[in-house]
Amino acid sequence: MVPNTDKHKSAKLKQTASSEVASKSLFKRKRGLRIMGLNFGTDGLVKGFFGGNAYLAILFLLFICLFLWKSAIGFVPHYRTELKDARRSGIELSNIIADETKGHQGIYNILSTGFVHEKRHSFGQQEAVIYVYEELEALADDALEDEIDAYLNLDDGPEKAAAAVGLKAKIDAASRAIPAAELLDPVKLRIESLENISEEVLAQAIGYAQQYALDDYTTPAAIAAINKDINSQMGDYGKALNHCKASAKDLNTLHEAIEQNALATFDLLKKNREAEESVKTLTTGLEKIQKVGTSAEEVAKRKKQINTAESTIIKVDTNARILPVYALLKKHDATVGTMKEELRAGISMIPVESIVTQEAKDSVTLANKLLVEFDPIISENREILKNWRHDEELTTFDSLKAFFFGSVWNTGSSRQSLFGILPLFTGSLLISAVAMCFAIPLAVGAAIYVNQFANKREAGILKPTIEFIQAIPSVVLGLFGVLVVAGLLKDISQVAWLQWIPGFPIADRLNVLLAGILLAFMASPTIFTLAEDALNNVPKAHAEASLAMGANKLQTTLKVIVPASLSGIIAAVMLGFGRVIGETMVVLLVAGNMAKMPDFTAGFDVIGQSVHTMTGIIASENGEAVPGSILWEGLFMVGLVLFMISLTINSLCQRIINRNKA
Amino acid sequence: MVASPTSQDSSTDPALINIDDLGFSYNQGKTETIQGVSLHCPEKQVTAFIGPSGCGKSTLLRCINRMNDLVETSKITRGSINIMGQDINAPDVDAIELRKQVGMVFQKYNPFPKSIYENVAYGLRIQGIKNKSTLDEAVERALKGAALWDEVKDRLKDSALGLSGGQQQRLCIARTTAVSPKVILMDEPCSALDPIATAKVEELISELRRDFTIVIVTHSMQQASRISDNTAFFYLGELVEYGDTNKIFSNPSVKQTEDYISGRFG
Ligand SMILES: Nc1ncnc2c1ncn2[C@@H]1O[C@H](COP(=O)(O)OP(=O)(O)O)[C@@H](O)[C@H]1O
Ligand SMILES: [Mg+2]
Repeated sequence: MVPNTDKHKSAKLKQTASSEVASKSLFKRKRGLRIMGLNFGTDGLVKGFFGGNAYLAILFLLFICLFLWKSAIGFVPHYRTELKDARRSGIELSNIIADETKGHQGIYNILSTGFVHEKRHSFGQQEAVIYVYEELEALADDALEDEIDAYLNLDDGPEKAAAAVGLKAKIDAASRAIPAAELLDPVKLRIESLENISEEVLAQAIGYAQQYALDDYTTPAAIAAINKDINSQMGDYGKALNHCKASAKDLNTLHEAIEQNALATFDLLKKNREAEESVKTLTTGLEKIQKVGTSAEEVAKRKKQINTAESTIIKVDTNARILPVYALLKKHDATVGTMKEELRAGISMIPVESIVTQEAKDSVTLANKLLVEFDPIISENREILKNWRHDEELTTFDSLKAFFFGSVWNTGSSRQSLFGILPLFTGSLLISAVAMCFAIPLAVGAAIYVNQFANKREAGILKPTIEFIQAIPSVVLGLFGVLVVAGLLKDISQVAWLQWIPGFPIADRLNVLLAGILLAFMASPTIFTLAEDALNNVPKAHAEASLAMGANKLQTTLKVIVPASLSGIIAAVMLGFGRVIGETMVVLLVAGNMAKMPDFTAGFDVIGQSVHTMTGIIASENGEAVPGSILWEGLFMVGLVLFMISLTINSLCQRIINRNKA
Repeated sequence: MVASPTSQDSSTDPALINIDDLGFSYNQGKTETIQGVSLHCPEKQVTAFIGPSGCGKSTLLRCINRMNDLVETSKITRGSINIMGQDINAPDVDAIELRKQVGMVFQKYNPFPKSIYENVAYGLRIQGIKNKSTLDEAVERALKGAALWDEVKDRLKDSALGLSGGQQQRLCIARTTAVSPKVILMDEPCSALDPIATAKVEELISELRRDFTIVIVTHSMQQASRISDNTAFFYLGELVEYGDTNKIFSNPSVKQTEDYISGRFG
């Protein structure tokens, strides 16, 4: 409507004073559609469209930040309540004692693995002896084939019985005549399926067989002799082991009693908390309805609901309920002392001199070492338990500390949930570190090569190829990793002549190393492209000056060009790191997802272990998180930590890049 | 048209650089950028290359330390360059070794983004010298030689990029002299500098001619006449006239030279 009148006016004006109109219409602002004071001309719309999008993005970012912050912040008081309940009920105490029983169990497990090894070795030897006899018999039979055939053709009778005696002696003699060396290969072929039989054992078995010969096909005296040896030896070993196991019996009973008491209280507290929650929601709901105004009937119905909910709340007297725990605790010092002494006694009972396998010997050594390390833990625990109070105050700071430094993440159990981010953080960091170890030399090396040494054709192939890696969807890479590379890596790690590589052989099929390798591959194009840019930005004059001084290409590259672009390369590496630590799909598929602290006592072998990551835990546990629950909030808390890490890395890079531009 | 190169009166000095009928091409010999140039640069003298822009001065200069090797399609089409009697394009000559003897200072000062000290020490370091006192001495000597020592001696560890333009160019000269080359090539070393900095560099060049043989490209007639002993005038890739600077500027034998010097073309 508005533009219409405008047109008419200008048409009229045109007729009257054409020159004036020409100059006016030349400079006059063209009026677009105006609604409510806003300009909706084409320009305005285009501007509005782009501007709107930009602001929408900012708005959305703000929304995410706020939401993340709000959800995460709720976690801290929630977790504090959870920890408080665990303390009041005695679960915290039970956990401390569990450390001791677990410590004992760990030592026992090591010993028992060694025992099984030794046993298997002995049985393997037995079995080998049987194989040797069978082989001896087969060889002797082969040698005396004709005579045996003749014997079999004989009619039954005393004649045949006499022939049997003679034949038996002949076979026996023939078997004794077979040299040990000739036996070795066929026997080896038979016992391929048996594990843990060394050449040594085999030689021993052959020695036994040759010594006793084929006196009796079914129960050779040799086997009986070996059996006796094994049984007497393993018998002592087994007894010692049982002693070790039994040493923790009292402690276990004590722990179980405390645990049961604590769990019952904890359960009650949890139920009460839930009931209180529901009373609260019902009450606020009622208040809302009453504000709007509703029938007395509805109000009464609701009030009844509230009453039933309230009735489920039972006052839990934690002070009274904890009393039996304190009573049990009095016995702890003595019990744990006995456990340690008996364990020591059990280990010393092991007949170390008669152990044959190295594995079993090592297990005893390791157990002794761990026993020594166990001492300070026990005395420390004693100290802690002496001062432990179920009603000691727990601050917000304690709750934060338990989150950031807690070494257990366990959310699925019916017991207390533990939200310690440390294992996840360590896992993420470990994987990223391994990834960077591979990616930095690979990507920066490639960038230097492409930028400095490759000819045009080579660079034309290498550059797009490396950048193409970015096009691989991370889920595809992860799938490839879990289905193909995982097995391959495990096989390679077991190759004998590769054992010098630190971390080999790897323990778990899905592990840090595997995730690191795949992530290195993923991060390489990012690092490559940015590092290449940085190298490219070094003025050609620097290279020219260096070459004119008689430096060769390599010297120029390493002493002038790389140092000049170092900050850019560092920024590239950091951005690559940011990409790796935030990557989810690949780690979810190949890191093994074990939410436990990586065992750094394994030294470099730690890279062969399964870990969980911050990104992985969010992806894998969000399905069970009920909105508003502590798990929901805990996951957002992890998200917040991740966000902070990315933010720090990005702003650091930005600063480096900006400083370089200046 | 080409003046006889032997018209120089400095024939008593042994010629350090001998360019003989040199032809050079940037495109595998399709067209020649340098067309049959012959001239001798005597030892411990300053030889100036003048001529209009694009006539091949820089190209010829870069032939002398084989910097043109970096252009993949470049080619010596004919003739030779001898330095101290050695044909520098002979197959057994290592360009890298050559450049240690024939240093170069560029049009735009280009110190490395390192400290002042490291810039000067660079040439020695790449030659494998690690001894601290040797390096210290060489750096001090080179900086003193470049009349820069007093200005920077208290901030040797500071970045070279914090110096003024003139200081940076003198630092580049110090960097070149630190490895004691026989020859220093300078490609319009003052074109990016203000008059005061230019005067300082010119003064420096007159000092340096006592120890080095210098070949300098310049587009400033005054500069050539002030600092050089011999002047070569190039036009379209050819050497038009070469001889004693005083003679070229006061009494050029070729009309073209005279026109150029008096500013009638170019
Ligand atoms: N790297 C190069 N590749 C190809 N042609 C070049 C290159 N450098 C210079 N030229 C050409 O060679 C000619 C001489 O250049 P130059 O030696 O720089 O002249 P001047 O220094 O006398 O101004 C010019 O036509 C220029 O375009
Ligand atoms: Mg030039």
